[in-house]
Amino acid sequence: MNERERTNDGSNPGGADPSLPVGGGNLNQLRQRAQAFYAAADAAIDNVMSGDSTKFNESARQQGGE
Amino acid sequence: MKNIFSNVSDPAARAAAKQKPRAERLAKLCGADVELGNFITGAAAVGGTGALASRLLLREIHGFPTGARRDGGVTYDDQDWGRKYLKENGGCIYIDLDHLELAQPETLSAFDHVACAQAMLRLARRAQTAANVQSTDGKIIEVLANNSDGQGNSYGSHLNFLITRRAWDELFFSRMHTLLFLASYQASSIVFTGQGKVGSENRAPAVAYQISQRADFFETLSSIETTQRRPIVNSRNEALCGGFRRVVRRKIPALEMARLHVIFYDHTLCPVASLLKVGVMQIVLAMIEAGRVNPELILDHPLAAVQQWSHDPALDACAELIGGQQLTAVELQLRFFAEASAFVADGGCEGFVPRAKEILELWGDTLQKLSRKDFPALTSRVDWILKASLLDRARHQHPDWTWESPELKRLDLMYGSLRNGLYWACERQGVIEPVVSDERIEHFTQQPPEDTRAWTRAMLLRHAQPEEIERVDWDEISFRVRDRDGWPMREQVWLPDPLASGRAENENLFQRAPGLAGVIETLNESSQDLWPATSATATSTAVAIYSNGKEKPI
Repeated sequence: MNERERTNDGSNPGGADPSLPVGGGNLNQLRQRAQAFYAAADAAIDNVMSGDSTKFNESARQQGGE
Repeated sequence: MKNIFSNVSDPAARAAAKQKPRAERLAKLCGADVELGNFITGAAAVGGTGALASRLLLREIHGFPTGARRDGGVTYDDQDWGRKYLKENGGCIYIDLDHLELAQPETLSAFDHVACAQAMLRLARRAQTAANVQSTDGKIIEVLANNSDGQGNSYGSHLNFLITRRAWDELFFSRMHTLLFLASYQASSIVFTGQGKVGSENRAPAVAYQISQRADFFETLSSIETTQRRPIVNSRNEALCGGFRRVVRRKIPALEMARLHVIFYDHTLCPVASLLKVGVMQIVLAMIEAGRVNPELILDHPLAAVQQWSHDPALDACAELIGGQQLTAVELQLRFFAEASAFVADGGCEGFVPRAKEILELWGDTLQKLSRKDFPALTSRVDWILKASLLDRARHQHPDWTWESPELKRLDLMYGSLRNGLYWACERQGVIEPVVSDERIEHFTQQPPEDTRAWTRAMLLRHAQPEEIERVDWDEISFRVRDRDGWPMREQVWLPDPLASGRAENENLFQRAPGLAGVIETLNESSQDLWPATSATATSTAVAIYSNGKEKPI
């Protein structure tokens, strides 16, 4: 297959800031949405990050399935 | 490049094909069998703790039959065992290769499919909670709704669709451009069905973050395999409906039905992504069954395209169609969307795909947002974008974390943890866009879908005493009951047509007939009228059990 990469314009979802008014919409609504997202993200991340992550990841080893 | 299907893409030929609808079509009934990641934190074992974790979880599931081998369920083989069918919703839970596997009841509507999928996860979470309560040493069973452990091991979240036997034969044997059409649709659909994953696996090129959990594991276009050299389009011919059934001295006529077993997709948690994953497949399969296949949308190399697209979360990578055109995944999806829109507008989904217009509208809106790269608007809809945003937030809070940091991989794994996953935290905060109500999800933890054979299966399990249920499968239940003279009898109820044994067809029967024996007798009587003219409901056979324990067909 002949595939090519288009010029990357810098967009990437990992770098997307939910507070930015991309695609139009009410700015206050977007800010509220971003704040709700950040609140959820921070709480969730803090909640799962106690202990040794390397050890946790190793313990997650699965047998291939299906 | 010359279009090898130029005769098919000729407008006049396509118009003629449109005027001659193909012989038969079936409503796009759907199901799913989903493996979960399961392990025990704080415990170590060679090869992992999945075997123990899955057994402790299955022990907390209450289903039928109860008296079979190894933890109390029907055993298919050494890999797939302990099946427990649920009288609550007609689905089943079992163990497959040391994963707890959830097989949800058959549904007709993609919306009900989404609700049932969430309901099954709730049942798994309740089993997890019950198992963890018994832990006395601080070890916890962790259950993950994902498809990869990040260490090269993948497990599936499979979809199943009812298609005609004719469409099956055409897909795999006689009109294989339909298979390429389907594979091209699936490959590009990861832009809304991916769960997202940190890193790559299975000897794929290194990448920081990719769209699909499964993309690195596809190595061939089509095959029956599921555990090695996985295909984009799986050809396992196991209908679990229709087909010839030899029933003592009699053959049940073949129903022209087949099951397409789709092993391609990630475990989606966002309801919109889940709805589109199932609902758009229903539409695409309805198009294939109706002969509305535009070969101009076929990728030159679907396998290469799926990995290329998955490894490019910026959505810029292009893949080549057989006509030579280069398209991004979203651009190809927009082409499929245009074809599907015309099909739906022509009435092609009426009677075959419930609420197709709503699915189409949501698909189009999601694609438009993807084409604008409006990622913030899609954090509520698409798992890989939500996960990427969460990981980005974590990196913002912890600037020393890189994509190689174990902390990010742990967050990746914990996205779908049933206990305290990142996804569920977002859902609790109202960040996730719903497509079904919480009440509807809870309903399906206790009740079966009413418009498929899952309803009759659940009702039969409720009417029987546990010891009377001998064997349960998707299209068959065997009971041991006593006849009027007190002799033990084996009675079998067949449910070969998944569309024909819903509440509307059989509720009166359950209300009218006295007890299980009466229900079975009435089902069998009604099936005598139906076979073979419409092949619509069930049939049965009986086996007399002599006092010496040997069986004799009657």
